[in-house]
Amino acid sequence: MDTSIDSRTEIVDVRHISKTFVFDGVEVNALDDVTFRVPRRQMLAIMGPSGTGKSTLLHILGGLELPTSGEIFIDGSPLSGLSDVELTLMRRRKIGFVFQSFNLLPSLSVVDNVTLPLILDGISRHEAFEKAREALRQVDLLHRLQHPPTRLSGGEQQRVAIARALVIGPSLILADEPTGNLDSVRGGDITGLFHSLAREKDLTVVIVTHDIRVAAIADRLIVLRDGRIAYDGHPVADTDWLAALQSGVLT
Amino acid sequence: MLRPVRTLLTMLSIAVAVGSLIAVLQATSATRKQLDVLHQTVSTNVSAEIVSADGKEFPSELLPGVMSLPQVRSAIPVVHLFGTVTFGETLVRSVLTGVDLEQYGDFRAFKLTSGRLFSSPGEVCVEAGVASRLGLVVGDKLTIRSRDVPIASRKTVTGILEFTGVAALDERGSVFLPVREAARLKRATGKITSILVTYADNTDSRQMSAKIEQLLPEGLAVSRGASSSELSRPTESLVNVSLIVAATLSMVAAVFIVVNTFQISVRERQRQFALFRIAGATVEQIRHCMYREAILFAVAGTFCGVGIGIFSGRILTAGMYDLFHVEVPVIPFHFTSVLAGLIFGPIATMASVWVPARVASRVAPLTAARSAVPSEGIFRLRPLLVAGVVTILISGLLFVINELEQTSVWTAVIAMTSLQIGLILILPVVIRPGTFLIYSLTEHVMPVESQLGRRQILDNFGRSSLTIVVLFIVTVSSVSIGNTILSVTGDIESWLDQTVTADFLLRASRPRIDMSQSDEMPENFDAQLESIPGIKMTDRVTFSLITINGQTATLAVRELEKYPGLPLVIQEGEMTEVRRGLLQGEIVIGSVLSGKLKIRPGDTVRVDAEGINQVVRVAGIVQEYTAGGLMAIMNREAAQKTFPLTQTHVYMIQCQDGKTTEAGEALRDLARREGLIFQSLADVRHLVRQMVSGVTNRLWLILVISLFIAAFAVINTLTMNVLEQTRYLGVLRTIGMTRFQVFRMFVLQAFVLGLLALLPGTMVGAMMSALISVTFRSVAEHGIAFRLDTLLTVGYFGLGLLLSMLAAMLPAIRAGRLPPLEAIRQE
Ligand SMILES: Nc1ncnc2c1ncn2[C@@H]1O[C@H](COP(=O)(O)OP(=O)(O)O)[C@@H](O)[C@H]1O
Ligand SMILES: [Mg+2]
Repeated sequence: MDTSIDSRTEIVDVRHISKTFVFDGVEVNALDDVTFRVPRRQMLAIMGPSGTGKSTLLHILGGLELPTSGEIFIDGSPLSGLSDVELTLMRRRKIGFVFQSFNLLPSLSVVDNVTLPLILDGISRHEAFEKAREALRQVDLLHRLQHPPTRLSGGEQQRVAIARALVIGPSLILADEPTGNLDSVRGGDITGLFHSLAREKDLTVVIVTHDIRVAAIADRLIVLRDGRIAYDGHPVADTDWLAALQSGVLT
Repeated sequence: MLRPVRTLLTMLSIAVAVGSLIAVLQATSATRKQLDVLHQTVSTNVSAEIVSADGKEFPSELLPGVMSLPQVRSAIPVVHLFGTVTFGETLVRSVLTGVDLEQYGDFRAFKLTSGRLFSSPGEVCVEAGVASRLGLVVGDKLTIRSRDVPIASRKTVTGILEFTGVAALDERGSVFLPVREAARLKRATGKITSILVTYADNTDSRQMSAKIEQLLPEGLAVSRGASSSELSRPTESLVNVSLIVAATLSMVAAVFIVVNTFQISVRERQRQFALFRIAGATVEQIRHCMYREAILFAVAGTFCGVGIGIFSGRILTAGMYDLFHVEVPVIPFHFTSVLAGLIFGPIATMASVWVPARVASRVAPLTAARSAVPSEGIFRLRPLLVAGVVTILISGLLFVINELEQTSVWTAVIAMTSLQIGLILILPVVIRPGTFLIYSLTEHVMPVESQLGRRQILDNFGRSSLTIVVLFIVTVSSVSIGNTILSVTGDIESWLDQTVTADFLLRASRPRIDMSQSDEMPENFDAQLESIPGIKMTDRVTFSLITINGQTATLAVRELEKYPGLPLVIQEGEMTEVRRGLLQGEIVIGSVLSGKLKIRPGDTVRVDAEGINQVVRVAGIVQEYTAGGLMAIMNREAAQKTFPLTQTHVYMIQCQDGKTTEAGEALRDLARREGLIFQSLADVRHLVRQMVSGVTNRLWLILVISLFIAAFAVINTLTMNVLEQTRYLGVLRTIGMTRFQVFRMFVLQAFVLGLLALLPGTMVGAMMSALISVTFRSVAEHGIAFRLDTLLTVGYFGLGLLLSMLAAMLPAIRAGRLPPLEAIRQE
């Protein structure tokens, strides 16, 4: 068994994972023997046509779904065998999720949405509020603290979601098409935000996207096709990925 | 995945509504019947008895005058005389009662166990006790002798009568014969010894007695039937009213649940309806689609509900037996309540779907495009508050009118109902501050659960309010009817304790108005009694015809020092004072007599007894209805120092606990040997206790059903909260909320909903029952003593809260189990 990897440098270590869904008796191989590692402070973009298992991969990384086979290590510890509580605590303390459809709680104010993960963790309201302010400052939303999220624009809502992911001081952010619901200008803002976060903080970002411009900013790009890795490399240095991507899109 | 749950819940809510209606109707009608039976048992139907103060017979000419009074339902003449009955070798002392048995049934509950009623002067009917003691059967010939006429007459037994309830006490050892024949044997042809009277319902017996008194010549008095006035008719109607209110409220609660379900179901499918509209469905089509669906629900739900209703009573009965080992009478199949359920189910369902269907059909097609769920229409609190306050003011006004005018029972009932409605209307006003308050207390322990739970309750204000209102209604009616019924049964028990102090009575002959003429007990009887094991205490009672300040009265001399308290219902005077006075030789006087002589405690009276004249101080006034209320009581030892009252007429015997049966047998034998009348009050006590516990057990049953309704309301609301908020929950789970936190959030929510309903509910319920008793005290001459049953009140509160939280378990576990992804993916 190859266990010699220095787990301190690898925040994500995915080994030979496959995921097969059985739906109405039909088997779908969403992921097929996927292996990769993500070092700390990397911004990794994942692209690929619809239905190739990008979201599934992200969910598996977040412990929201179990792989049919294979092993995942997050921050050096294996996910297999963890209980639901342990997985939840891992998400709560280490991983920030950002979704395409924001998923903010409409009945809570902006700041309450952001403090939520801290309060879930038993942190005092006062301290949570201070941390939330700090996170909202980073996404430049200090002026909307008490607003309900429904009053905010799409881009602002997504920044609130990012602040909610940041507030726990995660080591990993998993973003599933975070710009998918935004126009290109707002999308660019968000991408820039992720990029600078990965630089400034000790943070790894895995971002699933359809936007080539997002991928272009990333440190690394993985293209998935039919549940397999079709490309893994630098987005600019090598342009094979474009071919890989396009062939997938066109066929 | 959500559809089957929602379908099941909708159907189940209709089924529960129908089922609970049937169960409550059955249980209440059974309770009412049982209370009726209980009342018939402890109360004779004699409203009043007209007797002469000196126990002499009087002309029967009065009768038509009494009968012509509008409030008098019936009045019959009675002739009592003492005598003996001989059959074969055996002779027993007996009371010969001349009465028309055809009419006697209106006054005393009895049944003919064999034979027929007498129809000629040569025929008699005998009480079952006499028949068994003499070994008589129908057709036998016996000999009766009156004490007044030294001639024996032969009579044929045509029937044997068995008296039930309290009547069994008074009638033990009686032989019945035609009035005329009894008068002839008493050598008083054309005369009678008393007139029994019953009043129409809701008659003020105090006023009525005064009215009759005006018709009577000097020397005759009206005595009120003791037991029936203790448990006046208004008490019964009060219980009836509370039972009706409980049934109505449970129906309201059931409708609330169904409305709630449909409303949520529509909200949940708003998007779907909008898509239909985009696809070209008309408003009508959507509405009809909902109606069709509702009809299916109604039929299936009602069908299940009838089953639930019929069987829940039985199952609960069995369950109660297993749990508490108390016998709960099986609820009989009650066709009307099943019919009510069959009608109620479809109507309630269609009424409940009416508004939601209209709302749903009016959904704008574009709603589908909007991602945000449209927020629930804001609950308008101000009009509710105004309406509530107005209703409460009106009820206050009615209470005042009732207090001043003492109009009728129904003013009080309407006042109470409107007070309750008013309180229900203003309840939603306190929900918001209440929610904040409770959650601010739990926030330190469970911050997230509190913060999110509060949001959920307040964001779904309409639904939360409905749930709280349902719980509140159920609690108020349960606690108030519970306390009321327990007060009534408590009243009966204390009546029992105060009036039936002995387990057994032994007497030479049954005393009536002329008790002083009772036969004396055999000699050496005390020694014989002492040899019987298991006897705790014997109170020897002597009667004597006396005059007090010139007024004829009956003096009862008793061994009062043997009782821990006093076996008397004191009207004026303080218990320990009265007791001390009696032991020092003072006298207590019956209320009727004291009224006649205008005597108060502390006065002195001139007592003339057994030829001795003595001035005695009055220790107190007691309620006493025997001997027309013209009654005085003294302590034996003290009285004997002044008056030569050495004989004993009646032995009142109390047995040691658990020895009642064997001591009773020995006493029965002794009575048989000595030809004495033996009366077992133990049987009556047992019978009454059994019936009381029958009623209270039935009450528990109703409370259990009501708790189930309450629990279902909580399950319903929380399940809907879970169904509606899958997405919300999914997000929470993704960002790190554990299953247990989700679970706790819902249980806490149930706790808050429960507390907001149960705390005011139990308080208002207790207040209601206090109000009921106060109000009825002013309406009726004798209200019931209000007792706040702590076990019931606190128990209901605790159990209700616990059950709400238990009810939350199912939806809470479900919510915790929701896979986070399933929720998020829904988009
Ligand atoms: N819970 C599920 N049950 C059945 N099939 C699923 C489930 N989740 C995803 N899939 C299937 O797995 C494949 C990959 O899905 P997904 O990871 O969402 O793709 P992407 O995010 O790349 O568009 C798709 O074919 C999808 O239909
Ligand atoms: Mg996807």
